[in-house]
Amino acid sequence: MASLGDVFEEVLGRRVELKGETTAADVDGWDSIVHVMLVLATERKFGIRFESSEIANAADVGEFVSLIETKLAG
Amino acid sequence: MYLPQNLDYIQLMGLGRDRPDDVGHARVAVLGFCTTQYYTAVLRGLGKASGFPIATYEPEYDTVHQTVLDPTSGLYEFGAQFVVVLTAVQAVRNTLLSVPVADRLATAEREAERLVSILSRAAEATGATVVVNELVLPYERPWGNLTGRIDGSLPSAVRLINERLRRLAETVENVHTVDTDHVASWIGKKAWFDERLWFYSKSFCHPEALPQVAAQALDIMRASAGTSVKCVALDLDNVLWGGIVGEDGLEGIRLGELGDGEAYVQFQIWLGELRSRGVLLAVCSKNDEDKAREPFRKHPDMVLREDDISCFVANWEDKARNLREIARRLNIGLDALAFLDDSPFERNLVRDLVPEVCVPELPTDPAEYVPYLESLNLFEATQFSVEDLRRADFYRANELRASEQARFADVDEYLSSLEMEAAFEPFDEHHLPRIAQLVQRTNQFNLTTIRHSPAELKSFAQDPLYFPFYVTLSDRFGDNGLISVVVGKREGDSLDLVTWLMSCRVVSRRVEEFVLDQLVEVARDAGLRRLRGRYAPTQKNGLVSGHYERLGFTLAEAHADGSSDWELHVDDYEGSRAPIAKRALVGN
Repeated sequence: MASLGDVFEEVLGRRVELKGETTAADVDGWDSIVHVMLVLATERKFGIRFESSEIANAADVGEFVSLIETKLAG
Repeated sequence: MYLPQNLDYIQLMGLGRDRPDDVGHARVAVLGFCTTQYYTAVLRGLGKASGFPIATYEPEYDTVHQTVLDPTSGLYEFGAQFVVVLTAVQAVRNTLLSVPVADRLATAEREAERLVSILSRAAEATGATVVVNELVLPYERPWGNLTGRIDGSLPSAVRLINERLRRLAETVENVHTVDTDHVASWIGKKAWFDERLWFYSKSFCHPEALPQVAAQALDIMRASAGTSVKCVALDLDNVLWGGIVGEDGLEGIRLGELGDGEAYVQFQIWLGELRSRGVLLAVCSKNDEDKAREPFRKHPDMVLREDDISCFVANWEDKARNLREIARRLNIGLDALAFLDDSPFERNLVRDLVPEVCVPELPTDPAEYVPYLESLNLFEATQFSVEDLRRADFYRANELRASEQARFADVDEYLSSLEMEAAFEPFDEHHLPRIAQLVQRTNQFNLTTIRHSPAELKSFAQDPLYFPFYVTLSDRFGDNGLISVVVGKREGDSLDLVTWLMSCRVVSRRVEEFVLDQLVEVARDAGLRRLRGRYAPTQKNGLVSGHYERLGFTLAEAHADGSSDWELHVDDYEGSRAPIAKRALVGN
């Protein structure tokens, strides 16, 4: 979660408080454009690649984190 | 474009995020057949990082036609100076693929027509400089290696559309294309295309590639705004050859077959090509001058010769000072210089002391010089004229004139000895490209610095209110080409000099006096009684602050912004006796 915080800061230009239940609606500026940026910055940071379905689907930050963890474990 | 910091797309987007005050920024509208936001944010970041700040306007997604065709759309309210149009091969491929192979080219032709017509309309209706991304050739090749030979294949159809775009840019002066396929190939199409991002967010490329593709548009914008590198100043040792000629001697330097010598030969060939397209070459070296010149004279593998160097400075002074000297001798601004040196010490010294000069890094391996410099695209130009091919020779002749001048007692005697002849002619179609180029490039001898667009210049030629002239000059050392442009406009009983500019390579030759003689005659013939001129100061045109006063105009009004209006009654004018004969000419 902490390193994901870095990704958010890199993309949004400011620190945001992330909790498992945080969704796009809770974060000012997290629109569809920023969403893609977050996904790509996450890919770069962790050296992983999301599939098309995964780019759109994560419902909240918690789900996104577990998706990253699955990928890192696999 | 060279950026001192290496910024990735996320950092550039961050830089472009804050836009508190757009005053004085270049106004850029970004229209696309795809999502434009990523590109636009990167473009703003690049503009800020490179000292060319831009304000942007983006209409709704995929509304190129509506935005251009609707005179009440935000595009026109925004007042764009530049319109960037983003194409996406992903957006046209299905249209092409939906028809039988036999009909593909016809469909491509129709798509091209649609595109060309909306771009022409945008160019005409906005008067802005339109920069359009060509299509990237798709990665799909259903026929494998045969694909390029199949007329109806997707790549062939896309190639045809690009062909039409380039033809448009050739015929409409304010349309320019970006060779997007070059950028994509350079990066690698596997990295460029990301189908996930096309499906999910209609991005025409992976954002990692955006800095490079947006930089191309920015390079074009800067060039059309008059900022371009006109001269490359070269260090010698370990730049044009390997080793140090002062220590290793003529036989000891690496050039040609020896060691990495072939890389230096290739670099010289590359520089020679730049020279032949009109970029000047200068030498700026810490060396004894005779040692520095020796390889140019005697080394069998040297590609560049002394004749190729428009200004040769080799001494033990510091390089900042020598670069100022080069700029002075060539009569160009410091910001028109790029400086190439293998020594980080020299590069940093120049960056510190003459920040206007563009000082790219230089790789340690000479084999990397050309690919690295190519990646920077330092020499963008919006026009190419026959004058470019001869420019280096003009400057070379100037050096000869300078050495001649020393022999004469006074300047007038010297000027008379030049046997100058000038033509003063109304604009014509044949000379328009060079006229437009001079209007874009001239910063110092430029009274009003109005960057008339090529379309505007063309319209002057047909408008009875306007009196647009160009001047060419030759002397016994050779032809100087088209070197001055004056645009007069009839206002009541006056001829208002909207634009008066001249190439700095003919400064101090009394050409402006000759031009005034002609203008007075034009005014008299048209029954006008006065000439009125304005001086509008810029950072760079201090050279002509006293222009009208020197020519005998009287001050009519001085404005608070530093500009001033001047006038001259034609009845009071006696003629200049400038030592320049008027040539009645056709052609040239």
